[in-house]
Amino acid sequence: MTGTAELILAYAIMSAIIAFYVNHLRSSIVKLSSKINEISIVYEEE
Amino acid sequence: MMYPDLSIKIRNGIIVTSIGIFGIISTALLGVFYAPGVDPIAWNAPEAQRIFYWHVPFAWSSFMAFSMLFIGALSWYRNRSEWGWRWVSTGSDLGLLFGAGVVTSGPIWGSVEWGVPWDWGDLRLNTFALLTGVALFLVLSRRSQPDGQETRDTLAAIGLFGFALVPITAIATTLYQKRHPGIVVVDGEGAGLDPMMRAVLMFGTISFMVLFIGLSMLSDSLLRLEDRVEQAKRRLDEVNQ
Repeated sequence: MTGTAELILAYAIMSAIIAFYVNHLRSSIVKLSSKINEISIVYEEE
Repeated sequence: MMYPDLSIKIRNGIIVTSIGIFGIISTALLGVFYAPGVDPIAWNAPEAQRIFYWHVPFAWSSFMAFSMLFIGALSWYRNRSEWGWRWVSTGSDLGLLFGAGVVTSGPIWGSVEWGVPWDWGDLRLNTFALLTGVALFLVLSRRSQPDGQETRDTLAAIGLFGFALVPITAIATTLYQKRHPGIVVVDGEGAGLDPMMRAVLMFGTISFMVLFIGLSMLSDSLLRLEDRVEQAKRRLDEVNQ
């Protein structure tokens, strides 16, 4: 038992945690940017 | 209509985060394929030891996040500053992110090296878990409670007191070493590292710092964006009335 499976598992979990947070930031920024665009279009129309 | 100042900040955040991600992937590859292994007789699971090239920088990054949370909480109390609150928010997010990485990778390594995933009698393990629990509480509370001065005061107070665990956790292995190894980068009896291993670990630490800065920039931009959406909504409501 050298711990190779545990090595892969640990790196996979830590990578998934970082990927989850980066994706959360990306999707939130995209969502809010499009919301600002929508609001500004409505604002200009009125 | 995207705000130009925020667009630049987001673009810079993406660049810095990408450099950080490239650095930490390189660290993992160097740690697994390039860094020398440990003595297979002295260690129960010599390959699992390579987890530490990410485990240790994750822990240091979490301490930076908790320091950010502490400075932000102080600034919020002193001046009720918006940037202080943004630092509390970003610090708790990143504290949870990096803390979660440490408390998951540690037991995986411990289970194969020590034979048990957790030691309830080890000061460092338990204070660090508590610290990550504080960050989890702050993140969940921020998302579930209405944003206002009372909520911010309460959560900033928890962040301030939670920070007291940082020095305790950091020096726990020096004062009270049970299962968790001591500080590896400081030379001393039983604490020294092979120069090659140290170089990979330092490269990993710098890469994680760059990633930390990039994620902080993006998180800060996101919080500013949330503020501006709220302001824009209020302006629209005023026009409609």
